[in-house]
Amino acid sequence: MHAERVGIGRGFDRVGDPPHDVLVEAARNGDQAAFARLVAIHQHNVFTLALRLVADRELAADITQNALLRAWRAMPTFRGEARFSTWLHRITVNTAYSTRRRWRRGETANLECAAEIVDGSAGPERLGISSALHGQLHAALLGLCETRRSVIVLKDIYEWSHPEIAEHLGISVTAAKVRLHRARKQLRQLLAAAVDPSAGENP
Amino acid sequence: MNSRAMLRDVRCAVALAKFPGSGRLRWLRTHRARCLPCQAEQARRRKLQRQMHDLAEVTVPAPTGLATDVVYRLDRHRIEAVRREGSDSTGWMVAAAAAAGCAMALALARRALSAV
Repeated sequence: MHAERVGIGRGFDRVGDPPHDVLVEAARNGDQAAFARLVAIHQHNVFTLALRLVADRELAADITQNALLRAWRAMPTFRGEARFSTWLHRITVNTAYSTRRRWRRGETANLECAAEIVDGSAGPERLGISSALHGQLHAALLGLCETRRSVIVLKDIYEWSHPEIAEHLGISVTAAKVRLHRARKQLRQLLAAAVDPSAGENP
Repeated sequence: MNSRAMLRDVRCAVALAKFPGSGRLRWLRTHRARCLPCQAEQARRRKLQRQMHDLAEVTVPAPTGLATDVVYRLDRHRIEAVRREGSDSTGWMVAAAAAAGCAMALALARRALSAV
């Protein structure tokens, strides 16, 4: 089983807690208290990923709850081939997409990026980011449509491979690469426009 | 735009696109080594990649009470599961008792009929 990274501020290994791997093993064997501790540890990471995917705090909170419940149900199947956090991320991405699909069932969802209206003006506050260092980047990410944003978030932030992204988003590897290329290009344009508003007029 | 400038733009675009196997092209390597705008653009892209990578360390705090809600829902699911199991086993017991009662009633009725 992969050893989980331990970091300050990540909530790992609180004083008196058993090591992370022990918690995972106990949860796998049906120990609900151990899983509750894992929930406390990983909730922020799961919420952050969900928020980056859907850019809506309420929806992200719903996705986080559902993803963690799904994780509990799937715990016996966790074999430790990947890190626990990576496994949780995969569940979160799947949950985000199924929740999003349910959410949009009543709407006439247009999956074409060009037609999707994205309100990037709301700024990083919508993502709960207050750090000035990352604020501009987050605001630019919000300016991307959801299909492009999800690919760039999973590849450039969470370092997923193209085949993994393709599998989880239900697209081909080539489509994932094309989306990533377009997302990076648009992100550069949005960042350039944020610095110099005249630069973003002709994307 | 003259043809030389156009060719330079095309070379810059090709150099920045990083097509697979383009590293083996000598003219492209030479261009990358000499073209300052290309190098500046590459540096900007690398910086953006680094910043994106750094975002992995930035965590947005989950809403207060989210973990408690999850644990509460887990508890509720468990209680419901136990209750379902309990009601299932009670149902079996009732069904078994009813079946035994019916069998006994039938046996008694048969005995009564045969006595008549």
